[in-house]
Amino acid sequence: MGGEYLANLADSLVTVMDKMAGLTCEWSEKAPQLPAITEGVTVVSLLGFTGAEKGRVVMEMDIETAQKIGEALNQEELGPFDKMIFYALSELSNIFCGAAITQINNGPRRPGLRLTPPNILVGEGLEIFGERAHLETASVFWEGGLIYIHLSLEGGAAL
Amino acid sequence: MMAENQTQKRIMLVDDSPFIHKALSKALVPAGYEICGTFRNGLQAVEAYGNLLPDLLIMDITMPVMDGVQAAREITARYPGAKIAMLSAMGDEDILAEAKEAGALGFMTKPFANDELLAAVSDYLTK
Repeated sequence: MGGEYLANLADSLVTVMDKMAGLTCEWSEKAPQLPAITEGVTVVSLLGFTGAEKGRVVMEMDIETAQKIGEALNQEELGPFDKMIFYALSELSNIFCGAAITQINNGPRRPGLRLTPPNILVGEGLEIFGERAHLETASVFWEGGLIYIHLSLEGGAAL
Repeated sequence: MMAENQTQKRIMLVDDSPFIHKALSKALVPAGYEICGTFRNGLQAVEAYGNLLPDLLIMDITMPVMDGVQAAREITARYPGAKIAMLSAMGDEDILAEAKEAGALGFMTKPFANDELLAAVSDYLTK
């Protein structure tokens, strides 16, 4: 189930990046094992979902990628750490997760998932998950950078 | 653009994301609509609605403090003629049914294309 959810999320991010920012992306399940504590200045958006399954989705990227995507979404140049970059990325995460969960909810299992609003964190050395958390990660890449989507389902098993 | 003799329609926006306020304003204002207020949760919308009495309220569903469905329910209970359109990233059948039951005229999904948004807004305003 985790793999199916991750595929839905990654497909959705690729579609939404194209629709919202005109950025062509591809994704792969072959993501590197990332350190538990992020390296360099990192931007993450955290969303939770509840329903028949509970879990957390994290969108992660470095600050340079965040700047480029934030400017593409806002359709204007923005200064470093401009708050509109982070508002845009927060909404990007909300939209791609919402679209993915809608597709899952309308599928045969109808798990009735509901999203919690996103929270954005920006900084160095962020510990998003504990070292022992079971994560599934997809890489979404485009010519300007790389985005990771992490999925953690409650219970920790590879559901 | 709006014809000169046409009254400018006033639209109230409720979404927890300032990015969405900006995106909607960039689409609606050049088309001749006035944004009469922007709010970031459903409770703020309930409290402000009576003072603003907009021609159309465009509201997100997933928001902190009070979600859009509950806010729509409270606003339509107090103002039965309120025109509310939901705009959400979530669009499954259960949510559509909840929004309709709460009194929403219609439902738009994010991300939106400006021409689709303007067509939907025009449609809701004539209902």
